[in-house]
Amino acid sequence: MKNLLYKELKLVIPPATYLFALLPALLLIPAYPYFVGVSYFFFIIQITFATARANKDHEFTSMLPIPRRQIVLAKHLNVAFVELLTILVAIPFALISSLIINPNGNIVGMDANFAFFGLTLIAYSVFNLAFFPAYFKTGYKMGVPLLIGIAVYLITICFFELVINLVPALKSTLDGLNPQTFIYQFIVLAAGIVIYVGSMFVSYKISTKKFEKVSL
Amino acid sequence: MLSFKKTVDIQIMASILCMNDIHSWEAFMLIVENLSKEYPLFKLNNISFQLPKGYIMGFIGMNGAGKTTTLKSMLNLVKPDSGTVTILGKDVADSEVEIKQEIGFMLGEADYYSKSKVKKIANVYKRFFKEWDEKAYQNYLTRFGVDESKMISELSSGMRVKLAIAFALSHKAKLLIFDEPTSGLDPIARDEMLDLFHEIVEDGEKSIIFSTHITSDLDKCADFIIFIRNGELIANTSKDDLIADHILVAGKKSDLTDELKNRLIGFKLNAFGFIGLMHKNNMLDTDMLQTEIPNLEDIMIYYNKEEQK
Repeated sequence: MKNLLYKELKLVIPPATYLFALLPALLLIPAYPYFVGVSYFFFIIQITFATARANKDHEFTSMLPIPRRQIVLAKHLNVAFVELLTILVAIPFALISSLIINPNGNIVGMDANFAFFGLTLIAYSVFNLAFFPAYFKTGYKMGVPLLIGIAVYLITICFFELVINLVPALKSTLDGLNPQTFIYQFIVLAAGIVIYVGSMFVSYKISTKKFEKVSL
Repeated sequence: MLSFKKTVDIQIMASILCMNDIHSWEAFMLIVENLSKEYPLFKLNNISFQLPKGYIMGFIGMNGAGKTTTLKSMLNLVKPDSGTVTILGKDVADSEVEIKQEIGFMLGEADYYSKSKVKKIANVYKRFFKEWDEKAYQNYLTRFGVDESKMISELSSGMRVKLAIAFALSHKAKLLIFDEPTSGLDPIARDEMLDLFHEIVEDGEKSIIFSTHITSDLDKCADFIIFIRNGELIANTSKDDLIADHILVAGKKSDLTDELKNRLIGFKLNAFGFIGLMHKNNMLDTDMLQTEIPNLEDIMIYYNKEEQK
């Protein structure tokens, strides 16, 4: 796994990734929907996968002494790296935004609290489950899989925003920066982590099954 | 030029190749049995052949004959519908990872990550191989004149093939599989490549199988020939036997009777008469025709005429 991640970092993930990964800095804009701030990861995925296809990445990986399922694993590691990097970069900006820029709370959506990052991980999970199995059906066609992934991701974050705004019990616990509600937010964060890891595992299993049938 | 001893060895091996029940890994690096793959418009049909240790096998056939599909099916890159492939005594379907440690292959142009430097790619590649020999790799780069600081796109086609060979030999690959390695090369680079192929198998421990439609490459260096046409195996024999079994005949148009047409594999009409290819044992003492020894290109062309017939 270490070697695969090394390969993805050295040969596949383009340098522009690190520039795009700074986009969560948009969280610093006052009254900005925070979910949008963590949604730029799919630009990175689009660039990365398109570049990889042009560079015959799967063909190169298939020359290595690894089972075919590890080609699938390599791409999961790649996307996990991009998504977790987005969250890691977003955290300090979320802190600055919450403590300094929007101390009274964000007026256009959820606050960047623990629950927010838990829900972000769940939205990423939905994207992964939609994108990977569709992508590994062919191993090279990525337009439709990406569109499906982005569509379900956007529906998911809109759903989260709506539910939290419309259900008072959820708004009072999961929105805001009140330390007394942190316990509920931690639960959502923990659930997000579990769902994210689980989704990666399920997506890997389904994608492997599909990719085993593909002719390279 | 082959030595007398090697010629005799090839004849012995060729006779072993005909005995399909012999599957000694000591003798064969690669055994392909009844490999089939069906597509909507193409079928690779029951391909079987064996590659002995220490030899070069050429894989010929016109474009679209199924050469790449066969090579990819051998390596599990295309899932065959049926058949087995044994490399170095191990079944590819069960031991793909172990086998890939011991083989080197290049399918198509080696233009992966074309804007990355050779060094960067090598640094990734080497991490996956247990038997990587850095000193040997550096020696091959020096010998082949490959500059590690260049990007892949800056290397000529010949250099890319050489780099693939350097990669393969540096992890001590015993079997090299190349798909049309010489197709983009100029005559001098091709000649160099074929000399290198000879050198690789010289110690008798390594084998090479490579596909090509440039038959003159095989005239120069192949010991065995696999000839495939439209997914069907036409020939699986030593190059010398393949040539010795056929004869080119030429005559006047009036000589080209229906009976003779039936005995010819294929023929072409020209202003003076016809030229055709036939199996030597179909030649009759009564045939009053000019004869000539065919080369591989003649064999490939006239077999293609047979299909058109």
